[in-house]
Amino acid sequence: MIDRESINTKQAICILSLLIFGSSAIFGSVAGSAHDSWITLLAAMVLAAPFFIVFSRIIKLFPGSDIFDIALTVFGKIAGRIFILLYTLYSTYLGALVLRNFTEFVQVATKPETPQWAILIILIAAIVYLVFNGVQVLGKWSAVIMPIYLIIVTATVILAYQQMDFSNLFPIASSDTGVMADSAIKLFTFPFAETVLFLTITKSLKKSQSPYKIYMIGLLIGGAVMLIVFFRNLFVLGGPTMESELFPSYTTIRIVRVGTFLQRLESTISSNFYLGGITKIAVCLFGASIGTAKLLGIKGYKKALFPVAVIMAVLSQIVYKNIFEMLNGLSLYRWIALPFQTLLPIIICIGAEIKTRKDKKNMKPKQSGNQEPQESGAY
Amino acid sequence: MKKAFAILIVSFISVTMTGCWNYRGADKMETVKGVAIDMGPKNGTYLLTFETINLSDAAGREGKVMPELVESVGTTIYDAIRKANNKLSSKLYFSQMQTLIINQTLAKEQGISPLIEWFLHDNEARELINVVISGEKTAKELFNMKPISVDFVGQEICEIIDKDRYVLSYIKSNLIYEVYNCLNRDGIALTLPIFMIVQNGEKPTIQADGSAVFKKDKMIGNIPAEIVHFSLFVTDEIDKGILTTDLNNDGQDDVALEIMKTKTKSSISFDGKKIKIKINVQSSVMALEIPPGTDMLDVTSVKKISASAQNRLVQKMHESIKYVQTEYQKDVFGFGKMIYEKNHKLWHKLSKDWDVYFKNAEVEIKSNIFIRSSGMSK
Repeated sequence: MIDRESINTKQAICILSLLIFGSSAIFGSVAGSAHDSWITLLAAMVLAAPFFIVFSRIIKLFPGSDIFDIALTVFGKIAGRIFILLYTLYSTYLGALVLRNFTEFVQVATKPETPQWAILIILIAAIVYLVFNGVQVLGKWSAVIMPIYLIIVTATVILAYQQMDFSNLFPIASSDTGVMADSAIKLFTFPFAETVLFLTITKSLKKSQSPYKIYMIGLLIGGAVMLIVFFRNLFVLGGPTMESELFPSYTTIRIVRVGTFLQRLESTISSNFYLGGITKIAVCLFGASIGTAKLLGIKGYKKALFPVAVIMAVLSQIVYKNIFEMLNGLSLYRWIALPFQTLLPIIICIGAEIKTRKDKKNMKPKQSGNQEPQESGAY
Repeated sequence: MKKAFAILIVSFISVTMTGCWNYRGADKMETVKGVAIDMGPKNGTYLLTFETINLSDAAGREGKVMPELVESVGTTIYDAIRKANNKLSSKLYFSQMQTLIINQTLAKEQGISPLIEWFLHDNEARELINVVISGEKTAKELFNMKPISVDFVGQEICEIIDKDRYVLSYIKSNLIYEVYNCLNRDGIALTLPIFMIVQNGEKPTIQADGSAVFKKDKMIGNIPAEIVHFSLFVTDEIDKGILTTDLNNDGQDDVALEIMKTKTKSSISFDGKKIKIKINVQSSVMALEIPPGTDMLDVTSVKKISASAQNRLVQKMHESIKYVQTEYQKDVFGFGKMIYEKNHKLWHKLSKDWDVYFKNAEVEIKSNIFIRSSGMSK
């Protein structure tokens, strides 16, 4: 049973990288510092690295568990359940936000007359099917989608070469330091530190797999792809256009043309966007349904899957009134998300360290029994 | 059983969930190739003329498509666009639109920012629209001309601009997103190509003729075509073109060189009082017209031709910069942008009085022309 639901390191890295650039690549820039956005991206990556080490450490201390089981083990039944509730709520909220990003994108950029709920229903149905079939299917899906995504991004960069104006890079670091720091924190919370939700599916990782490797390589690949996308957008569009466009990556592809026969390639990056976003929402849905199942004492997450998906879908429609609220909401979202991404994992990590040290000292003979996850073969 | 169910689901999805919510067939769309904006009959209104594709003959004899002009008046651009539907059975469709022609009086009095707003926001209208100014009294009369090589004026204007850089380099064009960048960027003044009606033998047709120069987004004048051509040397936007010079100094140009490759490097410095610009043009050319009897195997002859062409180029580039400095004082060359990119703190100090600094800027131009060959004959 465990073997059916395991993912190897390569698949885990793919899931993590897609979590990072899945829905951010379409946004291509952060408002207020468009032509310095690459500096803020690098700053966000540096900021994220220590937290990735914290996330990895949590799994390393309790291999074969996910963050819900670890919370229960470390903090006991009551406090652990509070942690589970908090992360379930966060997963649901984030999934709803990303869903909203998608349906807004479709409505604004491609089909203004299609109602958002029509896209939403089809999208959520596909994602529910993906999650229903387990983590291994998600792993295989990510391993297939990653190369496709990377090939398409590379192709767009090569095709865009003729429209690139490298002087758009200058002046370097001319934006206000305050604005750049602001953007760096925005980029940190969305998308880098959201990889904390990967901890909800780490039950499928074996002890022999190194979580540090997964997180660090994921950070590098995810960050590199986002950097390439930022540069491509900047060189093609230029600062003012990049700042005013809602979806700079989409606008860049509309401009890219090779001769008269190769142009209007928007559908390639729209489909790319979907492929990445489906993975991200699937991980959020996993987290939300596993957490709900654990809270309510249901065995297996599949029974909680459908209701949680419906809640996520409905929430995505009511969370913002219009696209301006959605774009401004990023400023508020980061303060809501920061505790989940920074404070809570640190608390869990410290608790986990203390617990394992105590167990090592006191209960050495019984150690193997205590570390077993509470529900095995639950999928 | 499971297989049958799976096939049923797949068929259901592919039939019902692919495609559009509000599909419109090509016969229900009035595809717009070009739009001309003029002043409307009443104050504060716009008269829009759409050059659309009339498909009624397309299914007929040879599938010929004809341009159809539709006019509409509105209080804003989008208002006029929607009001056009009072005359049409199909909705206007803008994804194929290639050209936007603006009336020069409108550009001078109102500025072009409000005119291009809708085209930037709407998701149908693409970023690759060419924005041009009409050199005639109105913008819409350009649509009445019969283009020489294609069927639609909007398409003809776009193709003239596109192929110009590989043939003549007399047009400095801006796509609509580049117009937006120019208007919102520091250190460069906007220019847009001007199109006029000229006689081509018996029939009149359209031709590009110089550029309109802008102060912020209001047009303040026009620059003759030849000045534009040499200003493109200054900004390194020449791909191909020709250089002529007068070798014998008899008042008649007798040498024509085809530019194969040219690169301009500029550097800018500020000595506390004046802007100093150094420009270096490296070109590689083919001599295709030379005075009869010139021996191209003789190194001194070739050197004489190069030197003459170099002098001519430097002189013309100086003239073009001087013309813009004295007539308009607007930095169309992007010297301010060069300062902004290298040293944005210095730019912030100079930007308020940049027009004055630009007017008094000293320019030093060097040119090196290398004659690669003389075509098929010596």
